Amino acid sequence: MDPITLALVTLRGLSLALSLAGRTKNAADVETLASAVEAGRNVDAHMAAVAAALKSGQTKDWDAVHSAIEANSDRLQGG
Amino acid sequence: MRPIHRSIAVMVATFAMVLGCTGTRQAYQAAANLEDHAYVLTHHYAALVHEAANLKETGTLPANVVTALQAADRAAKPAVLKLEALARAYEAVQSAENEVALQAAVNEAVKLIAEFARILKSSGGSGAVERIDRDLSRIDWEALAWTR
Repeated sequence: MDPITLALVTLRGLSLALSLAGRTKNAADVETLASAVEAGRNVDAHMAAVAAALKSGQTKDWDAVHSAIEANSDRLQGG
Repeated sequence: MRPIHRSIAVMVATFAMVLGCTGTRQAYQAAANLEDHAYVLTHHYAALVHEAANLKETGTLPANVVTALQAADRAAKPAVLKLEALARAYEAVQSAENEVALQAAVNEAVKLIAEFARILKSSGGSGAVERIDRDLSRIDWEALAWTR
């Protein structure tokens, strides 16, 4: 198991334990941290794929990346 | 706070700090020229805004963090989206003028993406660790004895 996955399992276990013990605010804080750890891992995986594409000389797909930015920005800005 | 609980907080803080390192570093290192650098920056922002939107939809982010991320997105998105046109112009005509324009746009985008990433990381990174460290000190750990 890689260290980030181990951290996620630990944090989510701690969050569950706190939640079951009625410490919902503490559980929510730990869950927020776990989500941030997971987000960081996802960003890094995305960037690793970009690195691989650049190294292999793959054609740059500007349209796809722009569409992704527009769609996710709309989700972020939305109600 | 008991040492084991402090260790948990320190451990998660350490993991939070090393996030987004390897793949991101590889991508920037793989950029062979200014156009590649603009492309990597655009992807970096795409990945960050995707995760920010996901985190917002979980409902766990504080309202002030969501507001800060929305403001940072409004500032960064136009700067990021104009990189392609400038990169293509430089690719077509490698003039000093086009290079200066692209470099200036890259510099501006770097600054704005860094600010977006700072807000995103602080939402669950050091801020949450500090809160957890403080909150853990208040927990009656004897009540949680069954979890050990």
